[in-house]
Amino acid sequence: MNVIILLAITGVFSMFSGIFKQKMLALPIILLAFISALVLLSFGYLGDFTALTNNMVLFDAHAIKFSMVIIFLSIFVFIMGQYYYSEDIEHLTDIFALFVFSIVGGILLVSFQNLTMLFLGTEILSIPLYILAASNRRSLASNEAGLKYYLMGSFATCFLLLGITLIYGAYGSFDLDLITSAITAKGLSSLFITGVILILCAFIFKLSAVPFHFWAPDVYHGAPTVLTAFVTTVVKVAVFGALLKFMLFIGGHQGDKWMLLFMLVIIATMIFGNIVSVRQTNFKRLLAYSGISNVGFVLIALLAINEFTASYILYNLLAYGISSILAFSIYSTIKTHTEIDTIDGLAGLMANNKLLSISLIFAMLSFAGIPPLAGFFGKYFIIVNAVSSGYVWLSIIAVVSSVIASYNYLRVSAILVSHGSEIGAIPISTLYRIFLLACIMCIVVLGILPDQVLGFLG
Amino acid sequence: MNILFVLLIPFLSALIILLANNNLSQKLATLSSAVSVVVIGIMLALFAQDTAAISSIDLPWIASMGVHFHIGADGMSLLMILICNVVTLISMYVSLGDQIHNPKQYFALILFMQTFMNGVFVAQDLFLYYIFWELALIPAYFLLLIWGNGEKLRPATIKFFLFTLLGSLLMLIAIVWLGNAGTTSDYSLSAITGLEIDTETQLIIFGAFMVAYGIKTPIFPLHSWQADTYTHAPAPVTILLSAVMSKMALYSIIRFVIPIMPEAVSEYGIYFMFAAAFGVLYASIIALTQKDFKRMLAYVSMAHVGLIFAGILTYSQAGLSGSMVQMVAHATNSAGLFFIANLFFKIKNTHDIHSFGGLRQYMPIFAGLYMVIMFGSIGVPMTNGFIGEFMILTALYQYDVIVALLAGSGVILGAVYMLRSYKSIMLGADHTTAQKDILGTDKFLLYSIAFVILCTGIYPAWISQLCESSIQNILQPYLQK
Repeated sequence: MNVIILLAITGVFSMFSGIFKQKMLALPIILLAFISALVLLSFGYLGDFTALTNNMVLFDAHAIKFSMVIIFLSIFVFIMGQYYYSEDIEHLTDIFALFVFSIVGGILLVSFQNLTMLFLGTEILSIPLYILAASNRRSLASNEAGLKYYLMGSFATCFLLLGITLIYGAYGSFDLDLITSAITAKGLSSLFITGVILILCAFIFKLSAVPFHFWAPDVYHGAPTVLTAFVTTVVKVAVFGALLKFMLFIGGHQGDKWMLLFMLVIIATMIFGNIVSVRQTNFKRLLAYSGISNVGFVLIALLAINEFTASYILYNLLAYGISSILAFSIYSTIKTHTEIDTIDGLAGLMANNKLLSISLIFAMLSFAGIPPLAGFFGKYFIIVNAVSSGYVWLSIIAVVSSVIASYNYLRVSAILVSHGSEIGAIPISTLYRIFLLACIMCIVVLGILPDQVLGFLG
Repeated sequence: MNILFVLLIPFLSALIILLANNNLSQKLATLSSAVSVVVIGIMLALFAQDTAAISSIDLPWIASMGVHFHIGADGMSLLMILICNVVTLISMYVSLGDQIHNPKQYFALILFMQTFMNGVFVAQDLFLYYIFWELALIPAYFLLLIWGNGEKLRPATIKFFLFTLLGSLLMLIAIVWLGNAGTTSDYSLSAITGLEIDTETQLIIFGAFMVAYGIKTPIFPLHSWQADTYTHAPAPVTILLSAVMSKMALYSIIRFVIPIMPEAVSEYGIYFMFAAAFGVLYASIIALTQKDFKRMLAYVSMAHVGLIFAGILTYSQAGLSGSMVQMVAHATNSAGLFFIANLFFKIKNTHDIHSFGGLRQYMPIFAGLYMVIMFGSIGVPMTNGFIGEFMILTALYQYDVIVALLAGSGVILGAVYMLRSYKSIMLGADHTTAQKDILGTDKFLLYSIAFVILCTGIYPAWISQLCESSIQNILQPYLQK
C-alpha cells in the first residue's frame, strides 16, 4: 500500500514540476522514486501483508512480485520516454505524470481483493492511456488511436461492470473471500458463471487476445511509440497479475469450465499473431503483432496453475518486455531521425549505426527464442510446464507457431546487416547509449542466470 | 590440462578483437587460431600418454532444472576439436589475401563459431549441448548474410536458419523429455545413458534427434538448404560449414543417439541409413550435372557425409572406426576443395567449370596438388579417402546389401564427376590467359593439405587408436545385449 502512496505522490510531483517550470527535474525524481521503490520492495519494506481499507486491497507476495516487475519495466519506459519526447519538452511532465498514474492503477490492479478494486484499478490504469494514445495531437493516426482505444476500452469496461454486477447479484458481495464463503453456502449460481465469463472477456480485451484484438494493431500503430511500448509490456504485466489472481479465485469454483474457452483463445491468438505478422511490412506493426502472439503464449501458463506459474509468467513478461522496449525505442529513434518505418527501409542500418543494429539484433534473437537469451527461457519454462501438465498438443502448436514467428525476426536481422542503401549515422546521447547497453545486459543476464531470476521472482 | 582452454582461447580472442583496432583483427585471429591448434596438439600428446590427463569441469548452472555446465573430452572429442581448430586455421589462411570489409566483426564471428562448435564437441550435459548447438548457428547466419554473395543470399540464409531451427526444436523437446525421464531432473549424459527407455518411446525420441541431425548433416530428403547456402557463403565460411558443422551432427549421432537409444538404432536405423545411402547416389547424380564448381562440391560434400551417416548407423566396430577416419578425411578434403574453388574464383571471377580449360600448362604445381586432393576425395588407395570409405562400405555390405549397393554406386560416380571437372578445368582446350602459378601462402596451404592427405592415407591407424576407447565405450551396452 505504501508503494502506491509513494508513486502517487511522485505523479503529483511530476505535474507540479511542470507548473513551477522545473521540467528537467521530473525524470530524475521519477527515476529516483521508482528505483527506491524497487529496492525497498525487494528488501521487504513497503509491502504489508495485511488486508487494508476494509479488505479491498491485499498487498501480499503476489502483488509485490508483480509490482516489482511493473516498476522495473517502467524505469526503462521512462528513459525511453525522455528520449522520445526530447522534441516536445513542453508537455513532458504532464505526460510523465499520466504514465505514473497509470502505473499506480496497475499496482492497484495486481493487489485487488475486492471486485470494485478490480474495476477501479482497471480504470485508473486505462484512462491515462486513452489520453496518452492521443497525445501526439498533430498526428491523425494518434487521434484515431486515442478515440478507438477509448471507445473499445469503454466497451470492455461495460463487460467488466456487468460481470461484477451479476456476481454481486448472485452473492451480495464484491469481496472475494465473502463470495467464496457464499458459494460454499449457496452453491454455484448461473449468474456467477455468466459474470465470470463477462469478466474474462474484459480481461481478454485488455490483453488484446483473439477474438477481442481488433483494436490492437491500429492503436499500437497509431499511438506514440512510448505508449505502445508501455501498453505491450507494463500494462500486460498488470493485467496478467490481476488475471492470475482472478483465475486462482475462480479456479476453486469449477475452474475446468473455463479451460476450453481459454484453449480456443490461446490457439487463435498465437496463430493469428504469428501468421498475420509474416505479411507485415511496417516494423512497428510487426512488433505489435509479436506482442499479441506473446500474450497467447503467456496465457498457456494459466491453463496449468501451480506454485511456479507466477514466476514463469513474470519471467516471460520481463524477458519479452525488455526486448520489446528495446526494439520499440530503436524503432522510434530511427523514425525520428530518418522517417523510416518499414522493415525494408532498415536495410544497411549496420553500416553506420553499429550499436543500434547490434541492440536490435539482440532483441530480435531474444524474440526468436535463441538460447541462452532471455526470450528462450521465457518460452521454455511455460512450454515445459504445459507439457508436464498434459497439454502436449497445445505445446506443439505453440512451438510451431513460434518457429513461424522466428521467420519475422530473422528477416529483420537479415535486412539490418544487408548491403544496400546506407542509413546515415544517427546521433545517440550518452544516456541512450547506457539504456541500450543496459537492455542488452538484461537480455543476456536473464538468459544466463534463469534460476536466480526465477528464485527472485518466485 | 583443462578442457576449458579450447573454449576460452577463441572466445576471449573474439572479445579482444572486437575491442581492438580493425587493422589488427586479422593478425590476432590468425594468432588465436594457431594457438588453438597448438593447444589441441599438446592435449593430444598428453592424452596419448595418459587418458586422464585432460581434466573436465562440472559446475551446477540451472539448479532447479538439474542443468550443469559439464564439459569434458575423450579421444573422439579431441579428434573433433582437432578438426575444428585446424579447419578454423585454414579458413583464416583462406581469408588472408582478401579485402574483407568490417574485419573486426568477421574474425570475431568466426572465432565465436569456433568456440561454440568446440562447445558442442565437449559438452557432457545435454542441455548445455543444445545451447552450444544452437549458438553455433548464430555466427554462421551472420557470416553468411554479411559476407556472402549471390542474388538469393537472403532467402537462402533464412531457409538455412529456419530448417536447422525446426530440427533443433524437435531435438530440444526430446532432450527435455530425456532430462525429466528419471526420478530427478538431470541432463548429464551419464545419467541419461543409464535410463531404461522402452522401444516405442525410443522410436519417437530417435526420430526427433535424427531429423535434427539429418537436416544439419544433411541427408536426403532434408538437404534442400545446403547447396544454396554453400554456394552463397564466402569461401572460409563454406569450409567451416562443410568441414566442421556437418561433423557436429555426425559426432552427435555417435555420442548421443547410439548410447541412449541402442534398440531404436538397431531397429529403425535402417530407414535413415537407406535415406542416407540413397542420398549418396542422388547427390552424386546431381553433382554430375552441375556446371558451377562450388555447387558441384556442395553435392560432393553431401554424398560423402551421407556415406558417413549410413556408416555410423551400422552400429559396428568397422562402421564406427571407418566413420571416424572418413570424418577426418572429409574435413581435410572438403577444406582443400573449397579452397581450390576459391582460387579458381580469383582467377576468372566465376565458378563455371566450362569457362576454364588448359590451366595446367600455366599452373603445373597447382594442377598437381589439386590432383592429390581430388584423389583423396575420390578415395584412391594411399590417400586418406580410401581406407574410411572401404571400412564403411564393408560394414554396410555386412548390414544390408542394397544399402551398400546404393552407396557404392554413388562412390563410383564420385570418380566420374571429379575426373570430368578436372579434365575440363585443367586439361583440354585453352580458355584461359597466361597465369602465374600459385605462390606464397596458397602454395604452402595446398602443400600441407596434400601432405596430410597422403600421411593419413598411409597411416590412418592413429585415428582409430585415438578413438578406440571411446568407440568401445559406445558399443559396450549394445554388445552386452
